[in-house]
Amino acid sequence: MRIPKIILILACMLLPQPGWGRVLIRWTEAAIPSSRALGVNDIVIAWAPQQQTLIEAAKNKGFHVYAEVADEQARAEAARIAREGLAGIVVKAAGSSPAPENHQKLIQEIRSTWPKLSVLLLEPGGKQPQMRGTMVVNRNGILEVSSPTRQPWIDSNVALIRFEQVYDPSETPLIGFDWNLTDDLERRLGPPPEDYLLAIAEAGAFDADLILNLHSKLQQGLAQGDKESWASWQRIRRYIAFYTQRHGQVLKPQANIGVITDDYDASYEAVNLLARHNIPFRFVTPQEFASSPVESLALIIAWSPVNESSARKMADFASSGGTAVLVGGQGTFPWRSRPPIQKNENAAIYSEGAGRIVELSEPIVDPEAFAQDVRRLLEPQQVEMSLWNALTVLANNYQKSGTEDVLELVNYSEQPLRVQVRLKGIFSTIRYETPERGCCQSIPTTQNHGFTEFVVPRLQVGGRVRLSGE
Amino acid sequence: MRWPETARDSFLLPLLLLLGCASVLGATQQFVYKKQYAMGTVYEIVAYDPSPKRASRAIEAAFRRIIELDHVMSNFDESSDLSRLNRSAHFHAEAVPPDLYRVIQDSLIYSRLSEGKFDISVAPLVDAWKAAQARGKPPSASVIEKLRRCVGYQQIELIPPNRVEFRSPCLRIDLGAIGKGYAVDRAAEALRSYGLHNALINAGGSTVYAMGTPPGQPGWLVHLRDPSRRLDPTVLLRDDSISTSEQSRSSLIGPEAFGHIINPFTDRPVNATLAVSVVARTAVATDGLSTTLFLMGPQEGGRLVRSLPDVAALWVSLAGKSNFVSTGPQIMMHHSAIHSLLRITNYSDNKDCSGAVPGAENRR
Repeated sequence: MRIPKIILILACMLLPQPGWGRVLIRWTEAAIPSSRALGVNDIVIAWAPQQQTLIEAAKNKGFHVYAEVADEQARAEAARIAREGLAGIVVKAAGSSPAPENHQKLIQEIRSTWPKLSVLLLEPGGKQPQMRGTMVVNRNGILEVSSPTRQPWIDSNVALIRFEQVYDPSETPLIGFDWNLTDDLERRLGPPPEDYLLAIAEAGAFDADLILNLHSKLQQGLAQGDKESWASWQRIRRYIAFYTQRHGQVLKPQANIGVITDDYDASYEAVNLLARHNIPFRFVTPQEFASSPVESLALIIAWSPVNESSARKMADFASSGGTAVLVGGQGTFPWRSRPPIQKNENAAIYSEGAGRIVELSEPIVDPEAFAQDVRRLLEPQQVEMSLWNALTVLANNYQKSGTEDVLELVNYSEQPLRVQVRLKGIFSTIRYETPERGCCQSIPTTQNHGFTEFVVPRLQVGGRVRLSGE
Repeated sequence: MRWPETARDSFLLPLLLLLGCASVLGATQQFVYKKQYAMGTVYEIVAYDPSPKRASRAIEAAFRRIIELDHVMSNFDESSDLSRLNRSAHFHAEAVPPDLYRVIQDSLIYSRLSEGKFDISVAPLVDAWKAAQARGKPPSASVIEKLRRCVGYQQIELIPPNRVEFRSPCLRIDLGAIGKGYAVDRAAEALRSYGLHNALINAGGSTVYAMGTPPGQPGWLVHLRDPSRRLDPTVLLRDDSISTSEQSRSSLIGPEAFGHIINPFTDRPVNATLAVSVVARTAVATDGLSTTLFLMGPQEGGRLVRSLPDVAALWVSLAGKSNFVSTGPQIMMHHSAIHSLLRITNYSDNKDCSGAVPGAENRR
């Protein structure tokens, strides 16, 4: 039976939404269109004397203006920013890793002093989401080496977002980045619209807020009413609208792999590649691991050193049928009282009750092989999500809301793909929606041994699959 | 050929390419760079031209040509010409587009040169081993035996000018070992048709073709894959190509991960950690030859190289042992990096069967 489109649209509007993030636009040019024309409210402007005119203009044109301030100046400048009647302050954390605890203290302090000021922390370490090639980065006249990979290399912020979501659960991570423009033409004209769409889709799909830099050419074009700029903006705006649908309900990503670490830098490479291979994981703090049950997990990964009680808990986890992976072997562990059942120059596997413990040498000599190994260590029934024809796609499967699951897909190649998906669970109704085509296209499904298989017909940059009827 | 992401086992092969020095660029030579995802990998093109707009248009045309070829040669896309051929050419001649006919024709040259080590009909075995990788357990002897009957390039018949017939009920073609090289050569033609003379095309790092030279440089300096990390071999490309095949580690933990290159003589993945880099005049030649020479090894492969004009091959083992054979191009060892040059890291893709040399006959 063919369901009228209007009914599908209304149905989709009524569906509960996961907590997708919002997009703040960073503006630098002197002229600015109105908030109403742009269709966005929040704008970020650097807090500097020469920007006062722009800040005033933005306020007059209906924007909620956020002043961007370096962390060391934030405390001192907050008073002035509040007095100026700005909507908020974006504290730009220094460094390249997630913001440490003292940033959280700073944020809390400003919030308690200026309760009407919205205070946001811009995570350091954000990068332009992109599919990278294997060559050619032109910077300051030096063309330099890119990193090698076995698959198309994806620069993503997923590991950073995931880490922040666990270590600062009260805040939605706010990420930003500078555009990596590779040649003169691109530096002059700015990134293509698809690059903006990708940044918005990534942040939205993985539940982060985003500060989006608009290239000066685009800003000027918008301010001057340039048709091409406005056509690009309409596409960007459609993506912003698609992903900015916060209904206050933040859903947890589905994951049966726990990564136990509080050291972002040590675990980054391996975790980044788990994300890259669509192996659903969640960070577990050592404190949570020590105090909470982990039965919902099929596999845990810990970085050495682990203390005696954590080692015992790993052994218990394995005994009950799980697989525990320990990276680095410093310490005395109970399982070592028996010889390993398998051993090579990189790894030793110990049998432990109904499960096993895998010790890997550190550093991981090949993070790519490590990510593949993690998938192989799972039993077929434990693989929550598999994608095919999706070498440039990252996916995020949100936990159930009532009777619905949501699968967010982001295609970093920006070229349309027909993606095959297999998800654990039985779903009878699958609807697909995209910023380009709206809501919703029904997708046929096949159920197979506890899994649901379907094909996403066309994924350009961002797409959302809603699954129900388990 | 595209693999499921979980099973895809593409192989990093560290070629490092040094490109032209940006600091010596004349004002007349603008640098333009673009990338495009196609055939399961990232194609990149860098060009130097007085008109960046023309270079940009030329690169876009080259990418369109690659995408067009993807629609012809993909065995993932059920509507591709190759998929159609694989469904319907058993004991029945099928008309195919000129590109598909030509790339199969090229492939068969390499199959004959390598006496079957390069074989585009090895797809059924590749699929069986991919499935085995997902299961963590090799296919049974009976399965292998059954599939063996489906493999054999001699059972592919080309009927000029444009028809193909399979003389086996289960034969299937996979162009993963040669398709990228063919696409790179066609992309180079597209660039030339726009009047570009100095450009470099990189297909996921496994195959690179260099047109002309970067401004002020004698050629495009490429660092080759060196699994030993001791030799740092390099080659200077100018209107020629390099491809590398490598079987590298795919598991830190155990033996259950199988390699991606299947030897059609043993029906098993090759168990060797080495890299083979091949230089020749065309990308289809280097792409095809690299897997062929990987499978043949330095002794037998060396004999093949000596029989071909203007081809060079370098085998490098994990332990740093190298074998170099050439009938023209030179590969330099221990070449120190040239400062201020662009470095490009390359790596091999998954090559399932074996490769060979159309275009080796198009000599310098």
